[in-house]
Amino acid sequence: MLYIKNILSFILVLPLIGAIVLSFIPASNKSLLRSIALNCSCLTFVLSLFLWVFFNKSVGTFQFAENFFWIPILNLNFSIGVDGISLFFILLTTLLIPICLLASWDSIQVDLKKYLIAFLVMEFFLIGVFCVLDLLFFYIFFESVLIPMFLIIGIWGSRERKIRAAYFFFLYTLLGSVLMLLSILYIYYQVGTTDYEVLLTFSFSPLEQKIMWFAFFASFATKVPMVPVHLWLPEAHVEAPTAGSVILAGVLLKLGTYGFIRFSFPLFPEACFYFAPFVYAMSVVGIVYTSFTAIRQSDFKRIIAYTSVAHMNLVMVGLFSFNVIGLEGAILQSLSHGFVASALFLIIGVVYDRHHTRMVKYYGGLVHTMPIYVFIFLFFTMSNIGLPGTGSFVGEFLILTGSFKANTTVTFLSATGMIIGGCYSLWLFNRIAYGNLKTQYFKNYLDINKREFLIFFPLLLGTLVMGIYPNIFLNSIHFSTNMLVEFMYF
Amino acid sequence: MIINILFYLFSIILLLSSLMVILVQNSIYSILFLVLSFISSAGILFLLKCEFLALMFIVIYVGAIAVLFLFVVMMLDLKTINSKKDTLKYFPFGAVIGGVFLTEILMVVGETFKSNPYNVSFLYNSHFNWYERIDTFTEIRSIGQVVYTEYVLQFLIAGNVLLLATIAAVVLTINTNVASDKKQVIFRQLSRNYKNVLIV
Amino acid sequence: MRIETLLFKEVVILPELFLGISLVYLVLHCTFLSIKKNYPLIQNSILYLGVLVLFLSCFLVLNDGLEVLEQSVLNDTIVNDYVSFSSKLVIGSLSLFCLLMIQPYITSQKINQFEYILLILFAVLGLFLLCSSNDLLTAYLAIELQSLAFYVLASFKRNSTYSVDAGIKYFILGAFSSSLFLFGSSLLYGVTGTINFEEFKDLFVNVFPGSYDTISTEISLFDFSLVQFGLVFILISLLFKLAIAPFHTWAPDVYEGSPSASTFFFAVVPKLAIFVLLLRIFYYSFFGFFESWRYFIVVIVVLSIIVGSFGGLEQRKLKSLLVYSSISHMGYALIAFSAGTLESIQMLLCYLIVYSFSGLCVWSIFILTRLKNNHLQKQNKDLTDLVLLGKSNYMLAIFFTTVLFSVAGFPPMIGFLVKISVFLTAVESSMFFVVLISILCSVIGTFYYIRLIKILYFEKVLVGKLYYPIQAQSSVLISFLFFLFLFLFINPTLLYLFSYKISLLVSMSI
Repeated sequence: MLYIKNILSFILVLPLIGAIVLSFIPASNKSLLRSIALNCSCLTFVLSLFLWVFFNKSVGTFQFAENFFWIPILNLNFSIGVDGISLFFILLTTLLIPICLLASWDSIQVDLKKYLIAFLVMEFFLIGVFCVLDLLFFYIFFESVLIPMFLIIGIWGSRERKIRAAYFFFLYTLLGSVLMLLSILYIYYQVGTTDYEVLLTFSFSPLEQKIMWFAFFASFATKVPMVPVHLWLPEAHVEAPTAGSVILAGVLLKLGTYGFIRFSFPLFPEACFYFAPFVYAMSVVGIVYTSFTAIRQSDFKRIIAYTSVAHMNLVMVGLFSFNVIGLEGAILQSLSHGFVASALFLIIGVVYDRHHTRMVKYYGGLVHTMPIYVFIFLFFTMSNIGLPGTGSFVGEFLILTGSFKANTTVTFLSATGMIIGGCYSLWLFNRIAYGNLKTQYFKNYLDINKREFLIFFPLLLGTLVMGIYPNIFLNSIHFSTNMLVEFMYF
Repeated sequence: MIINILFYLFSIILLLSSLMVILVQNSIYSILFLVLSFISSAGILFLLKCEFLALMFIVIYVGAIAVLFLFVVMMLDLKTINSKKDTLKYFPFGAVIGGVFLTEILMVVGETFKSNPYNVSFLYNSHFNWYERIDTFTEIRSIGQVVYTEYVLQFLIAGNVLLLATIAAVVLTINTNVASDKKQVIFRQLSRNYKNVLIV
Repeated sequence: MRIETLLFKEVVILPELFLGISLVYLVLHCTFLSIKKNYPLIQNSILYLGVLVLFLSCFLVLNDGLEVLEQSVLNDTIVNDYVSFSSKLVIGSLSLFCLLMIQPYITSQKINQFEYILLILFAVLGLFLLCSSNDLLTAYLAIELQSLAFYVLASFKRNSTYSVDAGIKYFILGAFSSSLFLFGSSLLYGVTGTINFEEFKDLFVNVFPGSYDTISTEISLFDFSLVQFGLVFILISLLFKLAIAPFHTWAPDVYEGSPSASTFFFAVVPKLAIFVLLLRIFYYSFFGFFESWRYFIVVIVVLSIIVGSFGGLEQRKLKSLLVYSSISHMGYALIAFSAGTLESIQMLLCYLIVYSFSGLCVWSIFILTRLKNNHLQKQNKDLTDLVLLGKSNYMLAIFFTTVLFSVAGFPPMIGFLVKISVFLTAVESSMFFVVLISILCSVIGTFYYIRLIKILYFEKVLVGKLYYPIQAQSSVLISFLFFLFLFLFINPTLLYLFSYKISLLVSMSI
């Protein structure tokens, strides 16, 4: 009990300490490297469970808050804290990183040390994004995530196109973010500090709000991703290694929506209301268009990538409905998408490790030889569609209810998108799992081993729990989202 | 007034001869024009009552630097390069830009230095310094008084610059491999016959 | 830590005096030694002697105690305040690092003439004098001293056409810009009758020509256009020396053709001193004329950043890439210069110090990587020569990556912090359009930095280029620089306090 109040900074720094410890171990000792990295990330996960356990569900303020002085003369300080919205994102991150490390246990042989250090550093930055309470530091961590991800895509990607994918990923996100940087500088100039709690008390004029909202939007929209600027996502997902795709889909896409909830809504409420129709239009286009595009793809990973775009755009619809139900649905859908999309990428990773191809036409009839794998695949395909009993259904249902209150046409169109989602997911599953074994391409089929089952199990459990009893998660979010919505309307 | 006329004369000679330095083909001609420009600038300095500086110009620039140039040109046997073709291409553009700058300079300078506002005339633009009639220093005395007391450091820095120039010249041209100067080229010695050596 | 040197308390220019006298001594000593022993290879020992001399002059600068602040020394032509103290310290330590870094380069490139080191020391003497000059004549002489040393350093390799070419181009451009400086200062002398910066400040302290606010609505008796005219010439000549677009066209040729050790010097060391001179003239002496050149500088800034970002995109050689990156960096520094507030000077100095240190890192990596199979004898590395550096020398590759992200201005490095400080000052002065364009161009510029990282790590070639291993002395220095870099982000307060103190001194008339 004694050190509970400092636990957040410990969680933040622990992956970095792990990375530093790893850098002292010689690169030839692969098993030691892997075990230290895995232990470090599992320890971080266990500690973040403490965050959940000791979270006070009846207040909406920032808990476990700490403040460090950085540049006192410029009024810039490093303050971290957790509230209901960021708690589960941190938990998602710390859950997914050990899963990623386990997923790349056998497939990464070259430059293992750099890989593990990159992942641990990325974990540090990701936890930092979600728990920091300072606008400038949010931006710093937001951008810093690009560096390890760029290296991971570029070095351990699968084929020559990885370089192009890495450039796309880096430069798209950077271009959007620099506009956000301008707004941050303007905010700092007006307010005098970038501390979040001080910024909440400040109100900008409507014109300023609109311009700055648009600059923030440019940055977050690339991360979500919304339709015109979503081109980096299929490239990056396809070319990244399995664990890279998992963390990209699982956590990095949530950065955009988290940024909207945390910064766009409280700081620029009037601009949010003003631009809501615009966001609705773009999200609906995103859902429908990417769902249709996913049907035509021949690369397994690309299909999953496009479903990620569709789901995240649905989250955007839920966010901009401006009521508690929609907001909670958006957060829950983000979390469940974190589980489901990561699991789907792990599924493709399992089969890619064995046969080294992602083309759907080479696979068929896997149920005959890999039944457990197909069972897991089926479960997560159903979650992708939004079957009741899985977390996605709860999320979608809450989102559609919330946006029904705001605008019925949008709800109708996004529900249509979800139906198309069912179309491609089921078709994909059918082609791969059922039918005849394509023995002219592959001769050996091996079911999933214990390690691979272990990486699916937490995600399976999480999705199931979220579907059956979502109140476990929603309990902690209630107060914060209520406060946020009231703040916006105030 | 005569000072005015002499000033314009010397200035025109200076401008024209410095232009000719870069325009003539023959190197010796261009150095001679350089000498002419130095002498005319010394003349301008005479008119400004800086006789020490003017004589120093002639001694150092003409006597040392121009003579050095002449020696170098003599020893290096430079061929005249016919590069007349593409100089004319840039002339109109350069003339326009230069004309614009010149007009600007003349306008600004002309506005500021109005010494005699009552008699605005081209030829009578002289300025009379009454204090100089009473108490004059010769120029060399005034230079000595100022340079060696108030601006000593600048004098030393200028000396440093000259030291640096000397070191630079030595560094760029010294050939420490003394033995290689006196190499024999056997092929050239054996291929001599009296037709290409003997001059009758 | 101050050692009482009682006898020398009032000699203001003691570091420069020491440097000058020891340079003269070194010249004599080395010449006689060379002649007597038939030109031995003494450049290594002279380098260490030069390092010692520089270290002692830095020590003398540090030891000054700034006691002669209120007296007028040397007829007020030399000023000894905190600005000169700190900039001399920074320049001295940078040159110290430079000298230590180029030692393997000199021995491997067979630059056998000892005068190389002496020329560097002459340049440092010129820079010291430039930092503490208080009038136009001293500034001009110091610029000439430094520039002349650099001209010869650029053309030091006599057998290489590139080097001689670079030297001639640098000489002609440098002489031209110095003559512009002289013309401007002669006009200023003609109008005011003085060349001293303090006296300029006293003369023009309440004059604000060119601005449209209420201070100067009364009819001024004096037409300041000739002063503005002279200032334009001085400004252009100093911008020429900094290689800022549109006066940058000499920089790629000169920097590419000179031997890499000389380019190391050109890119890193003189920029801070010339900016100090710019600050003295344009923020201390002639601050009232700010409005007349402000928009002119803004146009130059935008042009510089565009040229630097777009020009670097198609470079295939590492040196040219670094030249264009330094052009764009000077553009960012000029944004802070054109903002006109106290914080802008502070951020300008922060930016320059961080730029010099990151330039030091990048160029030392460039010098230390020496190709093993260099049968073509080429000095200017192509970009592809760096391929697989991640495998052959992975610590150097990590260092290079870190420094590149800092140079690109990417979080979480100190380069990001100083870049946003510069943009912050521009936002404070409401120059939004400039900031927007420059920030977008900085994204374009980031591309060639990450292309370098791609070449270091991502290529799947089987055989990379081999490099000679780095000596222990250089690796100690490089690791020191690396940790300084990483540390500066965690605690940049020292940097901000340092620059704040400097800016308070420069801006007494704001």
